[in-house]
Order: sequence, then C-alpha cells, then structure tokens
Amino acid sequence: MAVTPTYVPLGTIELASTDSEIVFSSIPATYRDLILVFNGTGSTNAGYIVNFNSNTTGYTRVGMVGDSGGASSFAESNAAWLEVSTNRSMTILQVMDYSATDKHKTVLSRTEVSGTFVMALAGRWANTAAVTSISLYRSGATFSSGSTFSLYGVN
Amino acid sequence: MLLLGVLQAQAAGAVGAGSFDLLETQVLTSAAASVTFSSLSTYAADYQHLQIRIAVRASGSANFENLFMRLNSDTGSNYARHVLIGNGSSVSSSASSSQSTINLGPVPAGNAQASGIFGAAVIDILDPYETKNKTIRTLFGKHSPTGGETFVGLSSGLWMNTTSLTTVLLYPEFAAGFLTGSRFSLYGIKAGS
Repeated sequence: MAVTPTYVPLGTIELASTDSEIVFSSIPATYRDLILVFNGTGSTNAGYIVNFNSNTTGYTRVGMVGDSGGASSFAESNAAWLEVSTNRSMTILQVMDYSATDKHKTVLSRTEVSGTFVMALAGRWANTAAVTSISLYRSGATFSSGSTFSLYGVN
Repeated sequence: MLLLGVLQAQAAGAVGAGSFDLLETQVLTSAAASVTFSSLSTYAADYQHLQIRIAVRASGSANFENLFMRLNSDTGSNYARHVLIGNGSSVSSSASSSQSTINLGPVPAGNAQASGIFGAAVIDILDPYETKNKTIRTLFGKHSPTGGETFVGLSSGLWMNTTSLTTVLLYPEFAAGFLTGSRFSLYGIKAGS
C-alpha cells in the first residue's frame, strides 16, 4: 500500500536578536495540517497573537492551565494562542485542515513554561480561507534572541 | 520583523525518506455513520506507533457529541479512560473503567452550530502491534460561540488486550454519524533502527 512521507519542514527561524514579529509567508496549500513549534522566551509573560493571512478578526480561544495554584480554564475572543514568557516556553501548535476552504480553522496547542505552568488550548479562526501566512507578535513586546520557530506541513 | 517565505519548491524538496508517513485519509463527501480504518495489519511491519488526526463534526441536535473509538471490533467491557477537560470556566477530570468503547472526548455537532465549525483531535495510538495492552492518548478541542460547548482537553484510553491492532472504528455517541467534510487521516511513525 502506497504511503506518503510527511511532516515536512517548511521553514525554521532562529532569532539572532530580539524581534517584534515573526511571519511565515507564502505557505503552499499542499498539506492538510500545519505544525508550528516554538521554543524560546520573550520580553513579557503573555499570550502572543497568532494571525492568519494578516487578518486580525474572528479569533477565539479556550484554554486550560495548571500551575502551582491549581487548574483553571478560560474562554476569550482573541488570538493570543502562543504563550510566551521570560522563562523558556515550548509550544506545539497544530493548525488543522489549514488549506481546506469549507471549514473554520481549528487550532490545538500545548505549552509548557519552565517552572511556571502547563497549558492546553483550542482556538478557532472563523474564516474558511486557506491559511497562506502566519504572523506572531504582541504589541509592545518582543521575542528574545535565540528563540526558534519551526513550521511543518503534514499531508 | 523577520519574514520567512515558504517556497513550495523548497517544501517539496524537503520530503525525504519518511519516519512519519501518511497511510490513509478519509474525507467524507456525504454523511457517514462511522469511519473505520481496517487495514492496520498491513502496516505492522513498518511502524511502531500510529496517529489519527481529525477535523470532525457530528450530526444530531446536540451541540456536541462524544467521539468513541472501538478497536478490533471488541465490544466487551475491556476499555478504560481518563479525561482532563476545560470548558472555558473550570477544569474537571473523570475516569471510567469496564467500558465497551473509549470515549476520546467531545466534538462539535448539531444544526445550531454555525457552518464551518469543526472540532479537532490528535490521537496517538502507542505500540499498536506489540503484545501489550494498547494505550491511546488524545488532545482535542474546539471553540464555538453557541451555548456552553467550548472545550479543550486531554484524554487517555486503554484497551486491555494484547492482540495486535487490526481495525479502528470511530463513531459519535448518539448522533447518526459524521457530517460531510469531516476528515480522518491515519499516520504511521517508524521505529528507530
């Protein structure tokens, strides 16, 4: 039975200095899912914004987080899907069916912030357009030097 | 701002010998009561683990449905499950044993939902071909503006059977089935040499 090798690296960025915004552009519609792996730090402890196709509307998220104080859950109308901290944080963010044009885009992610918390998050972009670019940023904040961002495509 | 263009030619060139392979995909062109992957034995020689990635929406009048999994058509009370779930206001956990199926977690359903809303799950089936009980772990979630059916969660499932895996059946708990557009992809992860 024919199989298709996948989990294809599309691009990796390692910051040589601080940067306020990371963009993966010209993402081909060749795959079904995208997987973004972040490993790094930032200038503040906050959810950084993940926008698709330079569109800033239609984003929601629901998350659950566990830390030394217990577990909690939240639901919000924003695209703060990437938790960044002054402590090292790692996130694997999966954009399901990013190239489909009959679905809103659903995102699943898991984040660990060293010594601070663990989080799972589901997000939705209420838009059926295929994702062709991903922007990562937070107003007034930066990603730190040494942070890495890797994007993969999964058929 | 650092911008990285992803060129299709680069992406295509990056495909090499696979350790994570797409084995099968089912995208529903009409509603279906269930989805089955029935050729799993053909992959036993090449893969150590399996993963199922889904974007799914069930039919029915409820706002969500639990997604069930049954292995090798075993209808006995041989499954167990733990779940940790957040619904936007609180986090809860539960456990169940002696079940006749694995409850992977809720997925969106129903006509009350806006069109285009699908839930997602990434399901790892660990060591499906080894002579040990089968462990399944799932990350699932979806956010919807309708009602209180927003959730994200982690679940683990156990099938207390050491038989090599041959089939996986996925179906909604109560609804008639899955809606058109629902997608189910099966992947194989190779072992190290």
